[in-house]
Amino acid sequence: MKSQRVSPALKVIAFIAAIFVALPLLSIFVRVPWSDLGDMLSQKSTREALLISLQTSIIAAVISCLFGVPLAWLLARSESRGLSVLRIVCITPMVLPPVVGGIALLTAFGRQGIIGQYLYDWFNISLPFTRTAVVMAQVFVAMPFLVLAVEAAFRQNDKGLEEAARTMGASPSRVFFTIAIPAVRPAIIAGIALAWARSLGEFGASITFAGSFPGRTQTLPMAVYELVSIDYRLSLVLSLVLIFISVGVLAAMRDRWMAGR
Amino acid sequence: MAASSMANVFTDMQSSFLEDHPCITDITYSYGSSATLAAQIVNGSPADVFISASEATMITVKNAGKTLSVDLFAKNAGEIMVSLTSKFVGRITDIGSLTDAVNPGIKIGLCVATAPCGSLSNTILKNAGSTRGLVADTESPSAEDLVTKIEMGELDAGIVFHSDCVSAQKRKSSKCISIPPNMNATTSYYVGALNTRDVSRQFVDLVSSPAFTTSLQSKYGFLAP
Repeated sequence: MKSQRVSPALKVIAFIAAIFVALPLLSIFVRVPWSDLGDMLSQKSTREALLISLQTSIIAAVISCLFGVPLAWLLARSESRGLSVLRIVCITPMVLPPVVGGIALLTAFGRQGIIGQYLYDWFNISLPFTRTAVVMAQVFVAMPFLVLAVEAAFRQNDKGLEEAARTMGASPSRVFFTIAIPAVRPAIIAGIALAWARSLGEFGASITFAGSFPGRTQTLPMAVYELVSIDYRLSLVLSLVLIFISVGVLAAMRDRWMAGR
Repeated sequence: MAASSMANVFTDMQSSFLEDHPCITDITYSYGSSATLAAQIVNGSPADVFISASEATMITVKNAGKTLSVDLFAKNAGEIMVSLTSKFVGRITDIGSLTDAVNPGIKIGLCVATAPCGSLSNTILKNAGSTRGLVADTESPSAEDLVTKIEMGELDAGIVFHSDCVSAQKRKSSKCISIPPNMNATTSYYVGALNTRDVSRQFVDLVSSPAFTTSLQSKYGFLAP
């Protein structure tokens, strides 16, 4: 009975769609040089890129959380005018081509940038081509994912509890930390995971703003890109690592996104 | 498809080439590191002509059977390019002054080692008794990318092609510091048709013509083949 709900023609189309997504990913599994996998993963350049990727993406996820949750709270609860504009600006990086984000960061924080020129002239701080720049690029593209997830959760929250606490004399910040935050904890965790996965995969903004130098700013995706024309087999191995991490994130979040399955 | 160090040359000559060849209505250029372009051609990129900034990258294409005959039409050497906005502009005098040890906080770019400008700078650094790790803060995917980052002032200096530095100097964005002949090295520019179309042959003929190679040397700072 159940199978009749989907017509055969739609099934064929759905099957093609699924194959189109699955086949390229499976192809990497087929072509990865499994016998040399250990050697390739233990190469210095691979280890360095993996470590830089893990380090920068974890820092970016933490920063996204520390700053993104208050932003989500503001967007969900403030009644100021212009908030909808602020929301659009804050989530623009989600749909922006990352390379444009990189140029934007360079224009703001580069040595000749609008803010960057003062940082450099007054404090001798030069951000581009540093690991800090990698983290900044990752936060820029990843934080909106967390903000959106957490804001939605704040909105679904029962305001009654918050109002009750406030009438009983709790300060706005106490309400935020003891009532609002615990209620949206699952969304915060999901947001962190999402921001982390996005940071780990970040390429366009970071290569534009932070450049690529092995052992300093070169993350896994940058290494994969560079290796495609030099050592294709090694680029397959690194791609495999990134696929595993991505699938890991999805598996950890399956309760959230695959509810009921 | 052409080495990015040829970009300004072809941009300049675009209109005159089209005037001389009325049958050709348009030329599309794809610039990048010769190594990246070579990999794209080997993987089936539908280009008509390949212009490489090194022998090695042209050999890659030739060995893959993508071109039959190639012509050497120019050479290029390395040079230190310093951004005029750099705080270190007066303190960069030679290869040795590119390191953090001599100029703390200096930001130096090199082309990625696989690109012709990168392998050129590797040879120069080796001759000067230095290394990539000691000098570079970032690796640019192509010569053009490196030149732009120095001109923008995001990098203080870098080792670029002599011809690119000559053009940048003309734009008054940078100054060039020559590398002593005993340390410097050269790379060779080749052109090869990737098919037998007339337009491809005409373009190759033009690039390897004496008039073109002479203007490369007199106007753009390339060396004689």
